[in-house]
Amino acid sequence: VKNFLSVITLFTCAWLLTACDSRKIKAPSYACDDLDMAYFGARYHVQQQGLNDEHVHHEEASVFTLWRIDNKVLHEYDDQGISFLYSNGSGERLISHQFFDRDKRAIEFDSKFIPENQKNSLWSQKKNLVSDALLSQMKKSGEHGKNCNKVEHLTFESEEFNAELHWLPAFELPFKLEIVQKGQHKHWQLVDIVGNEADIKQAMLERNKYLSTDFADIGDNETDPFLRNMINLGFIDHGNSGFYDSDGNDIGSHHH
Amino acid sequence: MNLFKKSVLATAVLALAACSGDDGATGPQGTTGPAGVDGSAGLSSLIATATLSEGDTNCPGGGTQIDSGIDTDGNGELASGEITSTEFLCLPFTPPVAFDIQANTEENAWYKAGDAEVEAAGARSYTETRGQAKNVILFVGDGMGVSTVTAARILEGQLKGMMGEENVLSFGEFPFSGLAKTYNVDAQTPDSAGTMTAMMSGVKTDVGTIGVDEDIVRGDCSTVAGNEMIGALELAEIAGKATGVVSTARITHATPAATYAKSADRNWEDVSDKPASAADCDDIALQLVEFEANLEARYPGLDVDGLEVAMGGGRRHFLPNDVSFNVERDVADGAEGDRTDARDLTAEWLATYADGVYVNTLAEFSAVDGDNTPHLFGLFNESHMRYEADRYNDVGGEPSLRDMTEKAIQVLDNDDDGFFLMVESGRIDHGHHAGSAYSALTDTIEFAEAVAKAVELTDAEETLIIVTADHSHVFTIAGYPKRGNPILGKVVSVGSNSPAMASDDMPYTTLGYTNGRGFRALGNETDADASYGIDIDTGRKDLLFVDTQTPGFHQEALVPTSSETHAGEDVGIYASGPGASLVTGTNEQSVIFHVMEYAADLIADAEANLP
Repeated sequence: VKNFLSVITLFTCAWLLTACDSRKIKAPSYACDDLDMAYFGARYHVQQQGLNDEHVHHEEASVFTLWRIDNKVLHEYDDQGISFLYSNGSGERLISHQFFDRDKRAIEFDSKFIPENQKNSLWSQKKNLVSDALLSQMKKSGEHGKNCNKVEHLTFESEEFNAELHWLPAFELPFKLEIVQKGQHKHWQLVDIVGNEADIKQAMLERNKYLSTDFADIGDNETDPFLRNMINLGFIDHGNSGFYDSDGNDIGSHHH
Repeated sequence: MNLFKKSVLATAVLALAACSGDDGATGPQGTTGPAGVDGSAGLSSLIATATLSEGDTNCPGGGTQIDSGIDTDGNGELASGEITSTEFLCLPFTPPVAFDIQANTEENAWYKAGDAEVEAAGARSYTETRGQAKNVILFVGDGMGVSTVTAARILEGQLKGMMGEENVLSFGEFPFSGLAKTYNVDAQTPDSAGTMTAMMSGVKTDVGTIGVDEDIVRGDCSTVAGNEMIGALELAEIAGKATGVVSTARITHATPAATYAKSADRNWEDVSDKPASAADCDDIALQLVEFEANLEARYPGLDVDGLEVAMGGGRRHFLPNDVSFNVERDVADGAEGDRTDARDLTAEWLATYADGVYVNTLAEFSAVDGDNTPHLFGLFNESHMRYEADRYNDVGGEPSLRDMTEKAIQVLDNDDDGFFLMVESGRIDHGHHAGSAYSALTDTIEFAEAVAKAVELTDAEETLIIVTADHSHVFTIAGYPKRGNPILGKVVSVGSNSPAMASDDMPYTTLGYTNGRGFRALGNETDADASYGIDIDTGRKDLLFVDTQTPGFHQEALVPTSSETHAGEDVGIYASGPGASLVTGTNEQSVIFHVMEYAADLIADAEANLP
């Protein structure tokens, strides 16, 4: 993330992470003409609460940044120093790279398993955090703002979870997303739109210099201390939204 | 029942009618005297019968014994001392032919087959003469341990409609075999770099290093100089033979690399993989393209013609990191090439070999006329070639291992001095690493087909073919499945038609792994590496409703690891042709080089060609 910190703040609200309580968040007010939809970062404050009879027994907060880089998407987990690059490749594959910024190492594989007919849904979920499939099932309850600051209010209710989404159609990203499911309450709040094309390209160039290993080759390199440690770091590929149903399925790609 | 009519008498004791007294002598006719006294009562004659069981001495088939005599004591019973006659009414009986246990053994089909094999072996000469092999082909099934060979043999048989166990893979027909101890100098369980270096150079070395001896410090470029070793392929090249390397892995991967390169680290596949401290060491891809020049530089005045054949994956290591060099990947998805020195080694290869053909796709490969192609370079994937079961998914199309083996031999056998060829099935290893028995076994079957193709295309009298593995995997064939049970299926016990239950009351598969990423049920997914996109899931799972024979099923594993691991037990060596009988017993893996060297007299022939 430090590679991306020479940012241009594109919206006038200066959001402090500590002030990201959903009740205090203001409506977006972006200077639409300056936006380059192909190159920007959307930084989110993520709060996760464990609930027990509606009482909070556990609470976590983290920062997540989604980067749009031309036709690629990078999911950056700031706290862990890990990021995932997705590219909507040809065929039924979603090309993926996993970057470990602290070790300056990369793992790549081009064969992300995607069940039939789910590729577009999965790609939209990687790119927009909420899949087209879920979005199409949500009910619109209102909207406010205009142009790129237009926000649509959407809701979804099911036996598995309830969701409230403030959607930015111009960005195809959530401004706010709240998910309540059994024993869990998650709240994502957009706090910043950052970056410019030159900085983002430079950061990707740096990452491309990382020593890279194919997933298929990990087994032949277990003497490599970094690869050994990956067992503990894990392959948190499904960490993209952090919302799961009771079966462990990613709610962000919810479909019936 | 008619046979037993006399036995109606069985238990009856018959008293004969009483006799009257004796008559007096004839006298004169006198007067009628008084009536005489009655004589004493006569003795009864008795008959007794008894049923005889099968196996009786007198009636082997069973029957009836009839005893007769006089009831001298008058007790109405025929005591043994009263028996004066015994007769037997026997059932028909065909005595069994005497059992010939030896004939029974020798007539058995299994016995006959084994006897024929030994007879045939005895007829062969075990006397080997140095230099009898004009050609040498070394087949390496990467990670193809004994359990993999067995399971692939069964699967191939079952795919052919057999029960499976009785099937024989192509190299199972080879007349000689032995075992190889695979450990590296510094590792109990080895990797491909150290093991292939042992096979190619005759010297065991450290894990992760290529073409150098154990004095190397892995990853330290400065320790390469002075520790390099010459290998069988280089000796063959100097000796004037044609040389070739074929792999389904990247052609710069450890196993193929050990045939032509020297490197302190197996991962220095291109310039971008090396640390700055290794600037003075050539990357592996560059060493492939400059193989001829490097060999000639090592022996001033030597003139060789370089590798005639190099085919496999790994295009990324030969191309610049520039999307304009992409072959299959969409430009929008980034560059195929990894090289950061802007060198296009494929162009450099073509500049060196103006008579050569460079191919990327199945169509281009198929168009190559092997009999009239002096040099052939094929790079069919930016990374490893696809698993055999997944080959149909490739954008540009990829040849199979048997296709590449056939084409390689067509090119190489144009040389009257003979050839040396190494063929690796690199993805058997990767299938296991991903925990996919299906992928590992289907690639092993294709490997066996490639061996069969080599046997078909070469003269057994002048071609030594060795088939072996570099190491094994933690892959097991377990439980007590009945004969013919699907090898990829759940264990079904002898006499049963439903899955056997373990003590946790859940079914279990015959095949499994000691460690790895564990269970996946990915249906028809034929790319085993899809497993890496899913979190590790080890331990027991309820497989009752899971089809474990699908390509996408990954077997359960016990110990969670990021990737299933190699194993340390011995691997098989199978050999045919001149020098093959040298392969026997348990050997250090490095002995394989010596067998090849002896069979083709590589050192002497090479020395004869040195200026």
